Amino acid sequence: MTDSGERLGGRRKFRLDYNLIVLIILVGFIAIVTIMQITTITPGKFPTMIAPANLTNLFAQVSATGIMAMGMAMVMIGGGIDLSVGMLTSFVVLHLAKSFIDPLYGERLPLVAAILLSILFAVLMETGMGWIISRFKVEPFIITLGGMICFRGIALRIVNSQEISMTINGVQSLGEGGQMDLKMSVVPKNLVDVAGLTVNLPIYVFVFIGITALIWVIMKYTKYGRRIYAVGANSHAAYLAGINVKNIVLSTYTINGLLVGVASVFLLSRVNTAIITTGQNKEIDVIAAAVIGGVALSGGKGNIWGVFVGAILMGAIENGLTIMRQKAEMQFVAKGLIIIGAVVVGAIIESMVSRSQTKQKQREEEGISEVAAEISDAE
Amino acid sequence: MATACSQPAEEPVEETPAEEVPPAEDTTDEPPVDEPAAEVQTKTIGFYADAADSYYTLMNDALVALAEQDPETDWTVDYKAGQSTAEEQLKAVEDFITSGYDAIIVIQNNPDTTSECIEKAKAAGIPYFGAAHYFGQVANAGDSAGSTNYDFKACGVAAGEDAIAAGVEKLVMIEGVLGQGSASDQSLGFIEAYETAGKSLGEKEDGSKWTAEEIATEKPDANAIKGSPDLVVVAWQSGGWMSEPAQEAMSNVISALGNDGWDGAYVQNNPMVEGAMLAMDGAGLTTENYWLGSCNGREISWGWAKDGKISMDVNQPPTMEGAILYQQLKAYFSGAEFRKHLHPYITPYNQSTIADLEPSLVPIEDVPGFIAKVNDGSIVWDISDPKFVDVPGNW
Repeated sequence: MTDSGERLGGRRKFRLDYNLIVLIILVGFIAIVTIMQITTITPGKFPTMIAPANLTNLFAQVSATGIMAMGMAMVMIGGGIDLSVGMLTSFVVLHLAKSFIDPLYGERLPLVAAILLSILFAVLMETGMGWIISRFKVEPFIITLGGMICFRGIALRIVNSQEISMTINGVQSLGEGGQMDLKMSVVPKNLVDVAGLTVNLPIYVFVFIGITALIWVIMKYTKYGRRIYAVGANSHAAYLAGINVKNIVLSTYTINGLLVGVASVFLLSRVNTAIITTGQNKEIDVIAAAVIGGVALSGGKGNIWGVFVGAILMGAIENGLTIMRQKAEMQFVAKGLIIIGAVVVGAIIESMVSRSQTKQKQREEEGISEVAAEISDAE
Repeated sequence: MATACSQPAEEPVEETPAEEVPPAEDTTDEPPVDEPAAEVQTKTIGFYADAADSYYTLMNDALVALAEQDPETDWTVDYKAGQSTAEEQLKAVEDFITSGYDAIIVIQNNPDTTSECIEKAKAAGIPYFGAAHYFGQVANAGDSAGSTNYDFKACGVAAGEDAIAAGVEKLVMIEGVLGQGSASDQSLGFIEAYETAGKSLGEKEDGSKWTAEEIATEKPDANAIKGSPDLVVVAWQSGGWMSEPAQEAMSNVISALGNDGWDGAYVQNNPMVEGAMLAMDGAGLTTENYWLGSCNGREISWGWAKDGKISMDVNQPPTMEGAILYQQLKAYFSGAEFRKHLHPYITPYNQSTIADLEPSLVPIEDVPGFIAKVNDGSIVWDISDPKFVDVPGNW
C-alpha cells in the first residue's frame, strides 16, 4: 500500500497512492462538515470545524492515541500485533498516580521518578511479551490478549480497584501550577480565534509530531527500519538474509512499550485522574489508526505518515460528527465503515498494482522475445 | 402543559427551602389568561453520558419528555454516550463547545476531568450542568451552572440498616464497576450503617479496630478481620452493573463459600440483582434464608419485593434527575433563581413496606407513566420542595 506510481512505456500512468487517498478522505470530510456548517448548521457564523481552536483541539485529542499508533505500526509492520496497549495504558496511569500520591513503595515517589518508573514498567512488560513471542514463535494475538487481561488485574490490584486523582490541594500535579505542566499551551493564554473560541495548543501535540517524524526516519532511512519491513514481509527470507529476526521482533515490542508509556503520561496529564477505564478499548482506536494509515495486518507494509493521518482522521470523524450534531451511534458506524473502506481500498490498490506489474513484466518479456526474434531473423 | 418549578409539594413542608428559592406557587394546568405569554426558549443542549447505560438514557428521556410537553421550551437535546473513559468526556465537552451548544450536561467519568470540562465551558461562556455523580469536591465546582446526583452513600446506608434488621453478618458485596465512585459510596454507606449502629467491624492483626472507611477502601480479606465482628464482607465482586457478569460472580461466590459461608448479598443495581437472583435460584436458595438487597428501585423490583424474590431495594429514579435538569435548565435560560445542586430524594422499601409505598414510588422505565405522575401531582418533583436536599460542596 506504499507509493506505487510507475512509468510504463514512457507514459505517466495513474499514480496509485493509498496514503494520498486517506489524506483526500480527511480533507474531504473536513470540507463537508465545514460546508454543512456554513449552509445549514450555523449559517452566518464562521465554521468552527476549521477554526484554529478546533484544529488544535483535534490534534490535542488524538495525540496520545497517535503516539501509541506509532508503536503499534512498528509492531504490525514487523508482523506482530499488540492487544494489550489499552490495559497497559491503564496500568501506567494507575501506577504513576499511586506511586506519586500514596506510599506504594514505602514512601511517595517524586513525580519524575514516578513517571520514569511507570514508563520503565511499560517497557519491561512489552519486552516480556516480545521475548515470549519472538523466542517461542507463538501467536502475538494470544500472548498480548493474555497480557491485556493480566495488566488489568495488576493495575486493579495496585490501587485496590480505586480511582486516584492527581490533584493535590486543588492543583493538578501534571497541569498548570503543578509540579510538572505537561499540558502547557505553547500559544498565549486566552488567545481567542476568529470563531471566538479559546485556542489551546498543548506541548504534547509537538511531542506527537516529533515522535512521528522520528519513527518515520527510523523506518524509512535506517537499516534497522528496513529490517523490520523485511521481517514483517517474510521472516524466513529475512532470516536467510542474515537478519536477527528474533531481536528485531523483540525490539518492536520494546519500543512500543516505551511509546505507550510516554503516551499514557500525557493522557494522564489531560484527564488528571487515573482509573482503570483510562485505557479501555484504546487498542481498538490504536490498531484502527494504524490500519487506516495503511499498515497491513499481515506485516511488511505501512507508512508512518499514513498512520499519522489515520490517527487524525479517527479523531476528525468524532469531532466532525459532533459538530454536525449527529447521533453518537453514527460515529461508531462512520469509524467502522472507514476502517472497512480503508482495508478494501488497500486491497484494490494492491491488486491493481500487482496486475500492472504482471502486465509490465509480460510486456518486457514480449519485448525481449521480439528483440530476440528480430536478432534471430537478422542472423 | 407542564409548568416547571411550580408544582405544589405533595407533602407538608417541614423545612424552609434555600434562601434563593422563590416560594412554591399554586399551579393550574394552564397559565392565567391575563399573564403575558412566556417567551419560547429555542435552545440546543449537548448531553454527554459516561456510558451506554439505561439509567442515563432514562434520565435523558425524562428531560426530553418534560421539555416536549412544555410549550415554552423548544429544546433540541443531543445525547451522546461514551465508553466509560475520561478522555471521551473531555473530547465530548470540547466538541460541544466548538459546536456552539447553549448548554452542556455531563454524566461524568470522574470529578477531576469534570473540573477540566467546567474550566473549558466557563471559558467558552457555556453553562455546565452535571448529573448522576457528585463533583462538589473539585475547586472550580462553583463555576458549574447546576447539578443533580443521588447520594449513593445514603442508598448504601438504607440497605445497611435493612440488613442489620435482618441480622446479616456475612455479606457478599457485588459492586458495579470496581473503583467507580457510585459503587464505592454505596459500599461505604452500607458498612457505615453498621458502624453507626454500634456494630463491630472486627479488629486488625495489631488489635486496632477496622473502620467502615478502611474496609470499604481496602476491601480486606475475611481472614484479615479478627475478633468477633458483627459484619464481615466475605466476598467482594464486580458485576459491571450488568446481569450476566453479576450472575457469574454470584454463582462463583456461592460455589466458593458454600451455603453456610454467607447470609446476605448487597447487589448495587437491579440488572445485577436479577443476575444474583438467577444464581441463587440455580443453587436452590431463596430470600427466606438469605437477605438480598439492591439500590435502583425499578418497577420490576417492586414486583420482586412483593413476591419475596428480593429483601429490599431503594427507589432511586433517574427520571427524577431528568426532571431536576429540566427545571434547572429552564430557570437558567429564563434568568430565574433556582436551587443549583441537589440530591433527589430516595425511598427505601422492603417486602413488608412495598404495598404501602408503591403509589408514591417514582417510575423509572415507564417514562410516560412518570410524566403522568408528574402531571397529576402524585409525586413530588418541584425542586423547591424540601424533599430535595441541597448538596454540600465547593459551590
